[in-house]
Amino acid sequence: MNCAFDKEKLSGYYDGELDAAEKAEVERHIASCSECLRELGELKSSALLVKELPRLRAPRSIAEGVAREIQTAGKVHQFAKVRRSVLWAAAAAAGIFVVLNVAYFIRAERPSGDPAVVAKPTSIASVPPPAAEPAPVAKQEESLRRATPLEERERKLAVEDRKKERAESPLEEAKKLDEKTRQFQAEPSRPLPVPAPEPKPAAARGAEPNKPADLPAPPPAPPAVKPVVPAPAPGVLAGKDDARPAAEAPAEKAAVAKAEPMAKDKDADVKAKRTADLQGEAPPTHLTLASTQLAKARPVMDETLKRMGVKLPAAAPTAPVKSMAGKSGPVETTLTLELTDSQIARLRQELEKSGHSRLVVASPGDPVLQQFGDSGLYRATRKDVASGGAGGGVKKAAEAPKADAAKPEVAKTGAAETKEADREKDGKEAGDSAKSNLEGAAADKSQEPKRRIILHLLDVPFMPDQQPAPDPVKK
Amino acid sequence: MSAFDPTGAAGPAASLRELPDRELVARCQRSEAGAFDELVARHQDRVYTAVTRFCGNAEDAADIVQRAFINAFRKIQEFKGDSAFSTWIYRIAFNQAISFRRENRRPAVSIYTKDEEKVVEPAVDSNPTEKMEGEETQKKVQQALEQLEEGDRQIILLKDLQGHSYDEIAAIMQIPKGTVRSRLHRARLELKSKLKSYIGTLK
Repeated sequence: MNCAFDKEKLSGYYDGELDAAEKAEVERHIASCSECLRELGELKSSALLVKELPRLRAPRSIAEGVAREIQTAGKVHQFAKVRRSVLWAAAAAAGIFVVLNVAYFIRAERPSGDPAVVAKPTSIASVPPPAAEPAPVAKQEESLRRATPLEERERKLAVEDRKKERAESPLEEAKKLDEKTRQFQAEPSRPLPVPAPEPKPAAARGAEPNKPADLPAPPPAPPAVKPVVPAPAPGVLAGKDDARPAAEAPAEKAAVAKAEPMAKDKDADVKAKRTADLQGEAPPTHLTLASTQLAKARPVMDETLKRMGVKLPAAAPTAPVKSMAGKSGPVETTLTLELTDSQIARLRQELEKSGHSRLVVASPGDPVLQQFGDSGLYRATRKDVASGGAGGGVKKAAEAPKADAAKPEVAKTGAAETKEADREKDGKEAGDSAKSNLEGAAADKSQEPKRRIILHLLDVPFMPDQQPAPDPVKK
Repeated sequence: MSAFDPTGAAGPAASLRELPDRELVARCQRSEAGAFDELVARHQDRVYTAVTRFCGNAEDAADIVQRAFINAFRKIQEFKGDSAFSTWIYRIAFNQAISFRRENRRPAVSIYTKDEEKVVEPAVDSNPTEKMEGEETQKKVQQALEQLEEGDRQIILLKDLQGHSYDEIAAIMQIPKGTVRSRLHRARLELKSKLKSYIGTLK
C-alpha cells in the first residue's frame, strides 16, 4: 500500500471510462507495480460478484398496481378537470370583484386626498417650502397643533363627538343628522384625514401621533354655541397651510384670493362665516361636484333636487358662471342651495352612482379642496395617488368594516383610512353624541336644519383615478 | 386511459413496443392510453432488480417500485426529457427506497427465502453443486452489499449490476461524473474488504 498512484484510475480503467492517455498511463503503471495490479484484480473480482447476481423479474403486482392507479387517476382527472374549471371561474369572478372594489376605493380615496399632498404647500408663493418630504402625517399633525384656537376647538368637538358615537348607542334620526351637521362645521372636510388631536402637551403629542382613538375623552363641551373667539378666520379659511402661525395668515389669504377665481365669493364667505361663528349660526358649506361628464351629472342633480323638493336657484345652468380665463379645460358654475344634511347625502349618493362624478365638501381650508386645487379641480399626480390614494384605498377596503381598528393604522397609511372610517361612521351610525351638543343650537329636532350650500359645479377632464392633468392653478 | 395489460398483448400496445422511451413519454404526456403501461413493462424488471438488491427485501422492493412508477406517472407532465426515462425512473425508485427504509427500519427478509421463481437469469446454471455454490456466493454478496453505506451500495448496483455508464450514474445520483469514479472506487474497495475472506476462498 505504498504506491502513490491514483488508484481511482484503476476503477476507471476496469470500467473503460478513461481517456486514451489515462488508459496508457494505467497500463504502464500496472506493468511495473504489483500492488496496483493486485488491487485491480480485487476490484474486478468484487465487481464480477455483483455482476453475477441474478436479475429478477418484477412481480405482476407492480404493473397491476400501477394500472389501477392510472385508471383511478383517469377518473379523478376528469372530475378534477370539471372541478378545476369551476374553481377557475370562481377565482376569476373573485378577481374581478377585487379589482372592481380596488378601483372603486381608489376612486373614492383619491379626491379626499393623501395627507401628504394636503400638508404640502402647493402653488402659493408665500408658502414656505415643505420641510421634509417624508413624515406627511407628522406634518399634518404639526399643522393641527398650530391650528388656530377656533379650529382647534372645532376639531376637539369633532373628536369628542366621534368618541361618543362609538361609546354610546345610536340616537334617533334627528340627533344623528344634527351630529352630522355639527361635524360638517367642525371639520370642513367631513372625512377629515387626521382626527384632530386635542390640545395636549407637545411632548405627549409627539409620543403618540395620530392616535385619536386612544385619546381620553375631553369633558363634554358646550358645543352647539360656537365659541366667541377673536376669530383668526383668515387663517382658518384661507387655511392653505395650517402649519403657519396664524399671524401670517392674512397675507396668506391675500395670496389665496389672488390665486382663486372665486376669491371674492370666499372673501364674502369669510365674513359670513365669521359672523355666523359669532352668532352661533352655520356658515355656508362649500361643496364641489366634480364630474367628467357634467352634462350628465347635471340633470341627475336637478332631478334629485326636484324630487327632494328643493328649489333650484334658477334654471339649471344659469347660475353665475366663472369662466376660467385663458384655461381651455374646466368651466365652473356655482349654485347656492339650501339643503338638509340628508338631502346632501342623498344628492351625493345619486350623483356618485354614475361613477363619473364626485361630490365633496370643499370648504376653504379643507384638505379635500386642496386636493382639488384652488379652483376645485383635482390635481393629485400619479405619484400622490400611488403613495397615498391607491394603497390607502386597498387598505381601507380591508379595514372598512372595523372602523375603529383602522385608527391605529393612521400613522402608517396616512389619515385617509381614518377619514374613511369616520365617514362610514358618520353615514351609518351617527351616534348620540349630539345629545350633549344639542343644547343651544339644535332646538328643532323634528325639522332638520337646512344649511346654506354653495355648490361648485366642475367639469373636470379626468377623475382622480384617471390620468392626472396639469395643475390648473399653477402659473 | 385504458386498463393496463401486463401481458403486453396485441393491439395498440404491440405497436407501442416499437417506440423509443422518449416517444412513449410524449404520448403519456398527451394522456395516450397504454403508453405508460409500456414504459412500466419495459423498465420494471431492471428497476425491481436494483431496488431489491438495494433494500434486500423482495416485498418491500415490489412496493417501492410500484410507488416509484405511480409517482412517475403522476409527475409525467413535469418530465422534460433532459435525461432518459430510465435515468429518471431509477432516480425516483432509489429515492423512494431510501425514504422507505428510513421510515420502516426492520430486519430485511432475505430475497432468497421465497423469490426463486423470480430469478430470470441465474448466475450459474451448470450443475447442482455449482448452483448451490452460486447461491451461497450471492447470499454473501447481498449481505456485504447491505453493509455498505446507501450511496456506495447504490453506485455499485448501478455500475456493476446494471452496467450503467458513469454519465448515467451521475445523472441518476445527481453527482458530478468525477465523483462517480472516486465514489465507485471507494465503494468497491469497501465491498472488497467485506468479501475479503470470501474472495480469498474463491481464489
